Amino acid sequence: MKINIASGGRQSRIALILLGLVVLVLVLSFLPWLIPEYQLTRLNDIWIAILVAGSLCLLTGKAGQVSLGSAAFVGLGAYTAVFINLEFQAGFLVALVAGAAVSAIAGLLVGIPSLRFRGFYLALTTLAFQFALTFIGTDYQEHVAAGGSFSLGTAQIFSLQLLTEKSWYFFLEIAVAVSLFIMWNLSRSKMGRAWISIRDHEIPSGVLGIHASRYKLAAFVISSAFAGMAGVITAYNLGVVDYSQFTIDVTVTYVAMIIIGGIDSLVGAVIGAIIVTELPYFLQSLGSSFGSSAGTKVFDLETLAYGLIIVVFLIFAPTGLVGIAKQLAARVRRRVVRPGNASTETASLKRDPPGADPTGGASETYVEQVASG
Amino acid sequence: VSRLDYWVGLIIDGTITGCIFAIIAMGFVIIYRATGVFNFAQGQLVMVGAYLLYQCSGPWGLSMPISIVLTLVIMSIIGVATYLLALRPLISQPIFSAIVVTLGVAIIYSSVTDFIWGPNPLTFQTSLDNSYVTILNGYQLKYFDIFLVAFTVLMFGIVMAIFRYTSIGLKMRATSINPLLASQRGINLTRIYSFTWALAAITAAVAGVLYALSSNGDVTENISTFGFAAFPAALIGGFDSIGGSLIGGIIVGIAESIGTARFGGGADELVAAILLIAVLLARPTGLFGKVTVQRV
Repeated sequence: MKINIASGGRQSRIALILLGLVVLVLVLSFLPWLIPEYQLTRLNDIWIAILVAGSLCLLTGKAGQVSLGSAAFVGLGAYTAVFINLEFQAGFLVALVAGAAVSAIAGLLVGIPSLRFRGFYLALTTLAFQFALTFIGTDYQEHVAAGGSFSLGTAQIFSLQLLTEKSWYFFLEIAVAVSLFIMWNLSRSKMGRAWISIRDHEIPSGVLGIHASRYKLAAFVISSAFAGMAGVITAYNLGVVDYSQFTIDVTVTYVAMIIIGGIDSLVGAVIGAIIVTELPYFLQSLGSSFGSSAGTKVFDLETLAYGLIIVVFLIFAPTGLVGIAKQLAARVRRRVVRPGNASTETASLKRDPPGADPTGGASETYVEQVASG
Repeated sequence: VSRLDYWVGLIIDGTITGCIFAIIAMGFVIIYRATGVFNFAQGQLVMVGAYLLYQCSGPWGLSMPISIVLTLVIMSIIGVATYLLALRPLISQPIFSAIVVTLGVAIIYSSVTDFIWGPNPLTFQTSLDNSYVTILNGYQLKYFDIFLVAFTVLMFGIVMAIFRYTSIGLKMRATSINPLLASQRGINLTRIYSFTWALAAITAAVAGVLYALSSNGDVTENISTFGFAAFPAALIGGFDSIGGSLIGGIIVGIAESIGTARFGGGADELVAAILLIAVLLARPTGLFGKVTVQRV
């Protein structure tokens, strides 16, 4: 009887999720007609942020590789688009492929140290890459564009031109949906399970025949390819490329996205991308409601908010919003299931061991680190 | 200026800035050794220290010695507060959290500094003697810079002596080797870690004060980027070696001064980044770091 309930629940849950997705796609597809054109820019920014946050989620959340260089990978994509446009007059589609490829190669190079290091050594490597790329970007701009920023023409997909924000919206909706689908499939494939295994127990997974270094490098390559693509899209969507779009501060906003949403979850990355991209607008309206004197301090408020959000989430909700939602759901389920029934009790225990953290305690814990340091 | 004098001049320049890098790097090492956390906010702490000195000696009009002491006191409080509010609650969480939380703390320091003092560079009167001695056919070596180098060496001596000879230093070493055993022996871990953070914040403040004084009272937000130059400094010396960071700091200082002289203004960050990657690839434990072997 229990099995019946379980499998029935599973089927109805899948149906519910599918229904939800269909409704979501319909709503998203009609959204451009419901809101004014100038607001679409905000939505398009969110789409792009989702792409980057998703790529970071694969790398840091699933594979457990700390990266402080996501903005650099995005920037590399954008600069590749500029470079091949200047040198070879290549258009948007070629740039998408080239940007993904160049970023992927850079990801491979940055990923090589991950075979030797974990934790903050890896963070340092990716951070060094971040600073090096900002420098090279600045230098490239100084020499080629005389210190100004680069501009790019209209993105063209075969005969289709992405002229308006509305056309961008539909392109991004499809591109992000496809990318998220690929990411989601990846994370549930053999590779995704290998990533999680490496993240949680690197040495035992080697014993199980999982080639840790191969999968780690794959994580870096795949994640950077998506980030590079996002960079090409940003470049063409804005029409402008400037190194200030890809600094360490921007990297921190991407990290904030996956922390807010829940580092382990793609849904969390999406939620985090939405919240973090909308945060400046929210703070602006908050600031203007406090009068003009507060309005001038909006920028400080924004960066302060990023810092505070990161710290507060890490301390009070390390599993992010998705983790909170899961805990709430588990609590509701526990209350619905009649107490005293031993079999359901163990079932629910299995699903949520007390005090367990859905990130699975990525790599080593703080205490262990203290002990070894 | 002859060719040799030119190079020696660059090396002296580099040594002087390198001393400030070394003191910042020492702050990294102190925290890393004791708690296993890498503090990405150290550069921002240095910046806050410099701004506090400006506040005490500029707007508040206190005399320089009192300003410096007050800066150090406030900074040690900030250090302890950072540990208790941001780092301590993260015990038993993945190391990723500890890394990212210090980034968040760095942002908070920056934006609060920006909020209080504004984004524009500030200046205060240092009333410092700017006299110099001319060496090497025209290199002007300021007396303050000689003092700065000597003071740096002295400070390393003091901190190393604290670790080696004092009771709290012994407790800190014990805690870093095995926190559990240390706490079993009655060592109060929270107190030890708080002291560690206070000490690291004080070193950051000293670096900030020295920088503000040596730049004639100019204080800008760019000071926080020194933190990035101090990463390779700490790494070259070895993350668990305090004395190593002195040598690492000077190496990075000299490399940066040669780099900027040859490739122009923005090259210092690139030099730091290249050094960082090179050391990570070649010898991640640094020159003086302990090679830890993990038994599987």
